[in-house]
Amino acid sequence: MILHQPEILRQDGHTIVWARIELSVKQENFPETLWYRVPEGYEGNLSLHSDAFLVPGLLAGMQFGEDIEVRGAVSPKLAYHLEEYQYVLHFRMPEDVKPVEIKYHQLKSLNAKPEGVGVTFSGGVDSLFTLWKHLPQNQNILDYQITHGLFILGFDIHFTEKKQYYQLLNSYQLGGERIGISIIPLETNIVQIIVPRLYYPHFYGPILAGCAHVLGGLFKRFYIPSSRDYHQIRIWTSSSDPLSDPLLSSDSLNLIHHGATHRRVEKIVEISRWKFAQDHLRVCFNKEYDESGLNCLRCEKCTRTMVPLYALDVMGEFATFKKPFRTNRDGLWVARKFNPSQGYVPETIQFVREHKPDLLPWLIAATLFGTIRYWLLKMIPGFLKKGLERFGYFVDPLKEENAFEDPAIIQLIRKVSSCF
Amino acid sequence: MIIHQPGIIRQNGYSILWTKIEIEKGTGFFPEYVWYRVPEPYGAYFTTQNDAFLVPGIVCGMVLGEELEVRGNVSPKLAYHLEEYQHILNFRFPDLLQRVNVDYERLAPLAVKPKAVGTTFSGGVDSLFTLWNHLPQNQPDPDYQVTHGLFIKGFDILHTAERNYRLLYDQYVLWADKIGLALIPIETNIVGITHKRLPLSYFHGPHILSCGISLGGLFQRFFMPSSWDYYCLRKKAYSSDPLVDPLLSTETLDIIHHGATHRRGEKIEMIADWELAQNILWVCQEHKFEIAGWNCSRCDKCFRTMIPIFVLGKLDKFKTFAKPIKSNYEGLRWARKFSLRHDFFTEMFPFIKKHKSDFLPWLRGAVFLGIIRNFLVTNMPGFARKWLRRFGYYVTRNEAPDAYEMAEITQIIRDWNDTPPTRNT
Repeated sequence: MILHQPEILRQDGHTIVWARIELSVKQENFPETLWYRVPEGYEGNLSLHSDAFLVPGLLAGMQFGEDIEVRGAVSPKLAYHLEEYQYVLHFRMPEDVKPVEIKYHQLKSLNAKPEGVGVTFSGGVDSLFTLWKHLPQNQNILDYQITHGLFILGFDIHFTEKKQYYQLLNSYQLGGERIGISIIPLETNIVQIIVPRLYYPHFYGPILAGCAHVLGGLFKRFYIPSSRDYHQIRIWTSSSDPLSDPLLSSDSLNLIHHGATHRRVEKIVEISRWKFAQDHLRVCFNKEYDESGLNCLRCEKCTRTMVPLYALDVMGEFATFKKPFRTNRDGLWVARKFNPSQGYVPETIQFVREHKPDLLPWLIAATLFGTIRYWLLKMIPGFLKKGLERFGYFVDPLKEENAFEDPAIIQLIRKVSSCF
Repeated sequence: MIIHQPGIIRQNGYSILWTKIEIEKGTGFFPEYVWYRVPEPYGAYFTTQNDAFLVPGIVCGMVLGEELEVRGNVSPKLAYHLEEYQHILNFRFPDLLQRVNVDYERLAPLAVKPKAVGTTFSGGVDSLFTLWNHLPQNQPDPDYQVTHGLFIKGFDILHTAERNYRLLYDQYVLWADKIGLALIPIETNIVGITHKRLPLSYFHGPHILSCGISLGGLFQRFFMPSSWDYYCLRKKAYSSDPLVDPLLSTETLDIIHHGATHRRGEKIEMIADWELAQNILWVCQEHKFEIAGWNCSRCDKCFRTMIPIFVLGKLDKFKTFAKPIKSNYEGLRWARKFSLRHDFFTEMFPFIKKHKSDFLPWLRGAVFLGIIRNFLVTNMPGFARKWLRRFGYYVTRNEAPDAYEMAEITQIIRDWNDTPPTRNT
């Protein structure tokens, strides 16, 4: 596999950094170029090192078993640690990826002295928690206070949902201004390296790290909010955790996986009285945003977030839920989209026991119903699932056409490049 | 707990970096002063930043359940990551360690640009492997090539074993010279702050790393050789692994836990043809230096090192084993000191199957007999153990509460404190 030298392209007030990725054996649905796009105001902060392409690109090499040749410059620190990083990924997911050789044309640190401190920002519990912990009132070390949030299109929000993305961006930027944080919109197609070949929840780490690296001229430090706490990490294998993410740091960019020290319910407690969180919390899987709210209250993630908020008696303060819990009986809603495999049930029950014990019987009933429902859903035969797809059930949004690609940008790159 | 501002004493060709740690709750022996000592040329790299005392100090604070007040400067990066560090240690050892608050007087990075790359160097398999991997022939990036090795006295070799330490050092330094490695002898009593409070085998990480951190003016990077690989770390938790050690880095010192990617057999295979390793490998737990060779060839650690070398057919090249195995049959001797504690034998079977399958039946025999022996030894009633102590069994070198102390240094610090006008910091 060859990762070519990254190049820059300007388009309607935006700057695109792109690089060609060439596999020796052609693979179906594999992107011919990888790209990131940011508003042109950030052009000066873009890095033309290959770090941002190597980090996610490595997954393709490891999956297809192809040695990698990197034509652009790579941080020596990153290159050193990639050996251990590859080992760790292979050790954890030996069926999916294996270590490969990497040939570097040039090992060189980025010639920049970045000053910004960034975080990926989706508006979810994890990123709000990380942001909250690094505001001046909670973090007294200036060098660790967050200055920028990266809001990514092409990660959890797909290119088919651009309208919703810009609606959220507008709101986040306004809110960010009030707390002194710049929210940067970043678009990318790099998720195509893993989807649909690798299991997304296991391999998203390098995607986020790649987004930080592309703005290497801006960030000296970058936080990746933890999705899983130390209890879960013991049993849940992933490419993103407090051990593996820092291995993707470069000489000028320090990557920190933040928040694994707190359980999800503890994070919710921490942000529950924060006005910014109350105005912007977005956890929903369904993304049916409208004026009535950002969170549907029907999906598993909405319910597992709402239960602790309700138990804390702050549900009324959160403006982003369409149909917030109002009574204990509403707790039964959880059953509707209950998913025990996510592992949040024991901590939620424990939390409710401490904060609102009268909700407990309803939650236990919801867990019981939910388990039965979940089991029945899993038992539905394949042909029936396929039939139900036409009514919107069992549809995998990851398989939607151009979910992770913007055809207009690919067209543009093709036009300016002589390689195609 | 108060960790006072460190000071430096230069005397008789040595430099001592020292401080006083005041505790409130602890009972039993606690060092009057804690210190690190190096020969004079290296004393210039000691810094009065409090990082080197805070790193082991926080573990002590956690075991005593005392909040910490740290006087003097501390690295902001270290201070930031100590929160996560504490969480992890408490998560792993909830019955032993609790999280405590740390109050810093000043957070400021060290104002130096160190250039050297160090590693702890005991002469064992792990440190030799780390060193081997960071020699110019194996590591092309000069910023990752090891330039200095730290040979610590006051850790696995006690201060009372000066002769043994000197014996090893004299040989190490000869060989280190040949590969362009500067070997620094460093002495410390820092282990004394957790001795008898925490098991050293689980909590060696912060103590060893603090020695590297004490020379903050010298090291830009410091490797901690891994004792355990990722397979072992999945089953057991320690205070030193690829996750926690880097959390003790500072703005100027990058700490890397190296070698967990390789099993012990793989490490031995990598260094087996290296002349330096063949001449100085020291793994023995018995410290019987009076016999021929440094490694007794009888203890568990000697055996689990000798066996892979034997099956690779290279044991005759290793000069430091007193009684090397010469035939398959002799593998049975392992049963004598076999220990289930570290689970190294499970990795040894596939290794031997690959390299010398005719040795396998003897190894199985050794393990079988060893398990029976191990069961009997570990279940020996207390009175019998007590009786056997008079013959040297069940005796450990570091039993005394002040086993890590060196009265001579304590006296130097006392005298220095009593004569303020001649202070030289």
